[in-house]
Amino acid sequence: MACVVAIDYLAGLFCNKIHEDAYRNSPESFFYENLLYNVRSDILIIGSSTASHHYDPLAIEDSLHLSVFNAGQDGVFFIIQNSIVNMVLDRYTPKVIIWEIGETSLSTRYDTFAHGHNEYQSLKTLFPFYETDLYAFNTVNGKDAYQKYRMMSQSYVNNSLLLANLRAIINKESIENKGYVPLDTLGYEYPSICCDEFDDPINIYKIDALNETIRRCDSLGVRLVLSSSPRLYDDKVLSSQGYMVLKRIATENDIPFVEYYSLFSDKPEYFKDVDHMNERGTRHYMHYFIPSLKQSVN
Amino acid sequence: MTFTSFEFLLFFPAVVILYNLCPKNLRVWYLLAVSYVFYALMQPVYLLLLVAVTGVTYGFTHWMGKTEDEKKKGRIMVVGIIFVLLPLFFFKYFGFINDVFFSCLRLIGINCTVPAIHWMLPVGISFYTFMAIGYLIDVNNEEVDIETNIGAVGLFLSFFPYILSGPIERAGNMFPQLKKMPTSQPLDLSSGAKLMLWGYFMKLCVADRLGIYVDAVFNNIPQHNGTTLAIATLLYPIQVYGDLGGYSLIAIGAARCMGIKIVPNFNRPFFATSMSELWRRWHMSLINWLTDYIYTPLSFALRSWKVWGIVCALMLTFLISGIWHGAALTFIVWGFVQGVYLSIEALTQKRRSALESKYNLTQKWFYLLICCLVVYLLFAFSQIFGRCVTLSDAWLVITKICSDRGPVFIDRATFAYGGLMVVVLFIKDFLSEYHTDFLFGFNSKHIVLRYTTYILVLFLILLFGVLDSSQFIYFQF
Repeated sequence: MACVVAIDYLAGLFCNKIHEDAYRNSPESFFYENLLYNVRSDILIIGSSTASHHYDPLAIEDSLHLSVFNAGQDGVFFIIQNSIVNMVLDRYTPKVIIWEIGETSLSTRYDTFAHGHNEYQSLKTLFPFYETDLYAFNTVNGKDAYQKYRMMSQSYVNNSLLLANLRAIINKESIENKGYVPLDTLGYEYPSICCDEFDDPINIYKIDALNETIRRCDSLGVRLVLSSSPRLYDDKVLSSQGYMVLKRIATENDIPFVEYYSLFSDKPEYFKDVDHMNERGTRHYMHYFIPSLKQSVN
Repeated sequence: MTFTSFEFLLFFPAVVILYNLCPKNLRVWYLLAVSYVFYALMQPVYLLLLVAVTGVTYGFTHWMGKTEDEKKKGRIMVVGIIFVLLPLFFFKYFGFINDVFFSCLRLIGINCTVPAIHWMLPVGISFYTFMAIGYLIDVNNEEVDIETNIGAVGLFLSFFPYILSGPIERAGNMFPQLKKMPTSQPLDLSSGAKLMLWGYFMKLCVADRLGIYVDAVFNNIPQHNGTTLAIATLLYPIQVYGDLGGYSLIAIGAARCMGIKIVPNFNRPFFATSMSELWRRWHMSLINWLTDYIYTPLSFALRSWKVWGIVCALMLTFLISGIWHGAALTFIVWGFVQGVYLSIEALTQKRRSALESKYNLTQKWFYLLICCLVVYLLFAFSQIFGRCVTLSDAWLVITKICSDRGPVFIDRATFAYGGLMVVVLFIKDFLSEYHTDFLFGFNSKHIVLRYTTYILVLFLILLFGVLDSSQFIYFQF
């Protein structure tokens, strides 16, 4: 047992050293470390894959003449997003945070793996900050009662990172399009409108967490804009509990909620799948979103 | 609580320690309580169903024991089997049969609807149902003595290492061991721990790693081209082997830690040189069950049909196997395809044997390699029906593989880590298959080498395993 612990510690030292070298050589290979240590843009876009694929920073920069960075990442859901927002606020105060948020953000839908995804599936993104940042520490340990014991293992903390570190040492990578990841417009069948209903109960802890973050942004003078970009779902999503709660929170806290959920429900050619617009769709969406954003921040 | 959860890592050592501290005459009841707690932590309500099936099995075996008349005994057995099968039918197959029946009525113009009943499938029901049926038949055939201790019957059906996903145990193997309830010896603990360690490697490093890619492809079939679907199809059997094979090893190892030996479930299946050999190495507990209770009686009853009797028996056996795997047309087609493969082999067996003898092919490595590859490809093709949710999805996969070429969807982490882990798995299996005298790794005579291997495998799991929550593929059987 002592041998296992010793080797685990040594493996951790080795992996940490490799990571330090990797980060020094190619900081942009490590998205959230780069975001928190290096990015100081005026406007920050936060969210999951819908944020990453639906907001073009260059288009927003051209119009508002403010620097923009898209910090959306696939598979990162509300709990991690909330932690990231607070960790950003610990380091600097952007002028505007655009938070791409949807009908499932505050619900219990992804509290388990029942729907194929889980709030904590991207928990690893917070591991580099576990020992230095209170939000990361609390969020990671919030996964379950045993997470703090798992975090004692250096091998566990460095799980599945070796390849990324080695690639970063060999090859310096850079983030393209300021974080925006456009999706292909051609070469596939366009989706049909989806009639799924999102009737999951609301998670009150998430409501409390969002309210607290909104208050923090307000106290720091950060303009928070909640945004719901176009999806290819039936209109009944707009009357779902999750969506109504978002609108209520925005109203109660007097923050803008830029909603374009059904904007392109008759334009399947703007979508790669029912949740994600392709580049063409994003380009058209920016024509609507940017004026609304200007109005919201003025 | 699953085998890969943190709670199990705390639960299991405590269970083993307390098992050995428990007086021998109470160990059956202790393990029964532990097994029921283990089951109840997942599905508390369905524990009642498990207890009910135990009661029915116990009651009917005793009723058979009190009956002298063989025909009456047989009738009691049949009634007992029907009672045991009823929960499986209602929970697993009722919805499917309902849908199929009313779809057929709609085809002939009769429109009627029945409220849909959505049952949550009791975990492990397919496994303990088959074990209960096997016990009833064995008692009828006087192959096992009737167990008088209801606790032992309960433990036989609910033993926590195998209740969720097998192996499917037999009364003849378990009851003698449950009577002895041996204390764990050092050899039991070390053998059991080794089996569990390798099982975790297969599950976390191979199955779950490949599963990330396979699920991403098969859950989005229209979005992927034929080349990607072909790669995913080729990876899926390895994923299942890692998943179910790994799970089985954990179950076998966990039982071994308590001195209880459970039947093996996999025996390096991808080194099979024929489909029939594959099915002697893949999910062995299920196939042995089907062979003893379905195939052998059927082929005996149809013996006058000669080779066609064997063909019919094979087709029916694998159709039942398909139905056991799932209440869907895809599984029925899967079973049908397996039956076709084995029937063709049965029909061509003589010619193949003659050819192999004439050219001494079974001693030639390239022939064995080609056979292994052909068997793998045939098996991978059949698994398309096992993986896809609907027949139309399966058909789409097949047509895309044949016609839609394109760049492969690459996930670097999966290919790199998964590839490395698969290589490790195959090297280990290759050495076990062809170089049994080469004592390496776990079986090395040198203590330093053995412990180095254990630590290396442990760190492969910690550094490269998929350590987030996931489910075994066979969880809902």
